[in-house]
Amino acid sequence: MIPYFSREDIGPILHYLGKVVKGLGVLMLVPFFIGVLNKEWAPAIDFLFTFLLSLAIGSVLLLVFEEEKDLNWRQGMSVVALSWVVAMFLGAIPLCLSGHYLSFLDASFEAMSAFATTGLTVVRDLEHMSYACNFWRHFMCFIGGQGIILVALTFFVRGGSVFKVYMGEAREEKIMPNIIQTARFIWFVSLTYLVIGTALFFGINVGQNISSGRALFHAICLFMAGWDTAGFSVQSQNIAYYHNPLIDLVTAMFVLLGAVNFGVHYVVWTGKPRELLKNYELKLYMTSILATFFIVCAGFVMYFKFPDFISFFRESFYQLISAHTGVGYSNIAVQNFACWPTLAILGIIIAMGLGGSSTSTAGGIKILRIGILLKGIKKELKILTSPEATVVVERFHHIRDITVEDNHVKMAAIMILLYIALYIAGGIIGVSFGYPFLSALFESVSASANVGLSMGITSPFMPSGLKITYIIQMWIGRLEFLSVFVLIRFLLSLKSPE
Amino acid sequence: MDKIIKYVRVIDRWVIGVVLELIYPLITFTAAALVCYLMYLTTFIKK
Repeated sequence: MIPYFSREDIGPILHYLGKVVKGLGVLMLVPFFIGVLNKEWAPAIDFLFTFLLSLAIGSVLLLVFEEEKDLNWRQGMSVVALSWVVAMFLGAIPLCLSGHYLSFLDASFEAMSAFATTGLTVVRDLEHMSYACNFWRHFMCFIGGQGIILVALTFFVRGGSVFKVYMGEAREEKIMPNIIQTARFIWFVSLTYLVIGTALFFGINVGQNISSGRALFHAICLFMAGWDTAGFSVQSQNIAYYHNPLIDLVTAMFVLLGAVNFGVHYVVWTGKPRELLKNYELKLYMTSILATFFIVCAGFVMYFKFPDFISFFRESFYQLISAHTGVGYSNIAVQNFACWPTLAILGIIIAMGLGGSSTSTAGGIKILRIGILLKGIKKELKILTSPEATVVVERFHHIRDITVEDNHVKMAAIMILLYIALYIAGGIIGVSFGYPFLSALFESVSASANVGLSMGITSPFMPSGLKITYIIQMWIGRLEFLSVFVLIRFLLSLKSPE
Repeated sequence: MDKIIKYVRVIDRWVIGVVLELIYPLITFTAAALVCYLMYLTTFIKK
C-alpha cells in the first residue's frame, strides 16, 4: 500500500526535480556545440534557447523550494516519474523547432521514445536533419538508457536521497556497496564499450568509403542507440541503409552486451569470468533467444522460402535479436516485415515481450523474473509431489547464490501480469483505432517493452490518441510501473489531501 | 612497485573480462546459426 502524500512532500519533490531539470539543460550544450562546429546556426540557437529555458525553470524551482532534505522512498519515486515527463517536454523543444515533426506531440513522442530507449520514430525527412538535432536524438537514447536519474546521480545529486531515486528508475540491484560507485561503474562499462564500439563502426564505415567525419558521426550514433537498446538510426532506412553484414554483426554483438545485467559485467571484469557460464539469468536468456528463434524459423520454414541460407539467417536472426534485446534495429524495410508469416511475427512478439536482463539497458518483462517464476513453479511442484514434512529449497546463481523465497515469486508474477496487461491494453486500443489485431498487438508490445520495431502503424500520420497511448506505454514500461503508481498517488493526494 | 603490480592486475582482469564478453555473443550467434541451418535443411527435406 502506497501511503498518502501531504503538502510537505511537494517541496522536496520539486527541489530535486529542479536539480534534474538543470542537469538536463547542461546536457543540451553537447548538441549546441555540435551545431556550432558544423555551422548549423539555427539548431544551435534552438539548443541554446532550451538550455537557458531549462536553467531558468530549474533555478526557479530551486529558489522557491530551496530547503534540501533527504527524500523518503515515495518522494524519490515521484521525482523519478516526474523527471521523465519533464525530460520528454524539454527534449522535445529543439526537435519541434527543427521543423522535422508535424506537431509538438510528435516531437514529444520522439523524445519519450528516445529517453525510454524505444526507438519508434515519427520523424519526417530524416536524411536532411541537422547533425546537432540528429545527435540529440541519439544522445537522448544514451541518457535514457543509462537512466536520467543515474546521470543526475553521478553529477548533480548527493546525500542519502540517491538510493531512493536510483531504485525508482527500474534498477533493482546495487552492484557495489555505494550507490554513487554503482552509478559510476555503469558509466565506466558504457564508456569502455563506447570506445570499442565506435572504433569498430568507424572502421567499417570508412571501409565502405564513407568520409571520415560522417563515418565517426554514424559510428557514435550507432553505438549510443545500440548499446542503450534504443534503435534509432541516422538514416530513415535504419540498419538496412548500410547493406553490410559486418554492421549487422557488430550491432548485434553490442546490443546483446547492452542487454546483459551490469552486475554480470562487474563480476566478469573483476576477475570472475566463470560468471558468464554460471549465471542463471544469462543461461536462461540464451535459451530464450534460441527458443524464440526456433519459433521464428518454424514460421518461415512452413510458409516462406528464402533463396539461400545466409539471407534467411541474416533476416530472421537479426530481427529476433533486435526484438529480444529491445533495441529495435532493423535490416529490412517495414513493408517487408509486414509480409512475414504469422508464426514468425508471434515469435518476435514473444521475444519483445520477454525483453533483456534485469539492471541492463533493455526493457520488457526481464528474463530474471521469468526465471524466478519458473523456479517458483518448480518448487511448488516439488512440494506437491514430496512427503508432507519435506522442506523444499530452490536455489539459483545470479552473481551470488540466491534461495527462491515466496515473496520473490510473488513480485515476479505481479510484474509479469502487469506487463501482459499493458501489452494487451495497448493492443485493444490499437484495434479500437481500426488497426488489425496482430499489428496493434505487435506495436503495443514494441512500445511497452521499449523495443521500437514496427509493422507500419507508427508514423507521423497515426491518430493522436494512439501517439499519446504509446507515449504512456513507453513511460510506464521503462519505469516498470512502481514509480508511475506512486506519482499517480501523489497527484491524487494533491487533489484531496488527508 | 606494489601499486604498479596491483594496477596491472586490475587492468589484466578488465581486458580479459572485456574480451570474454565480446566472444560471448559470437557463441550465441553460432548456436543460432546452427538452429537456423537445421531448420533451413528441413525445407529441402520437405521438397
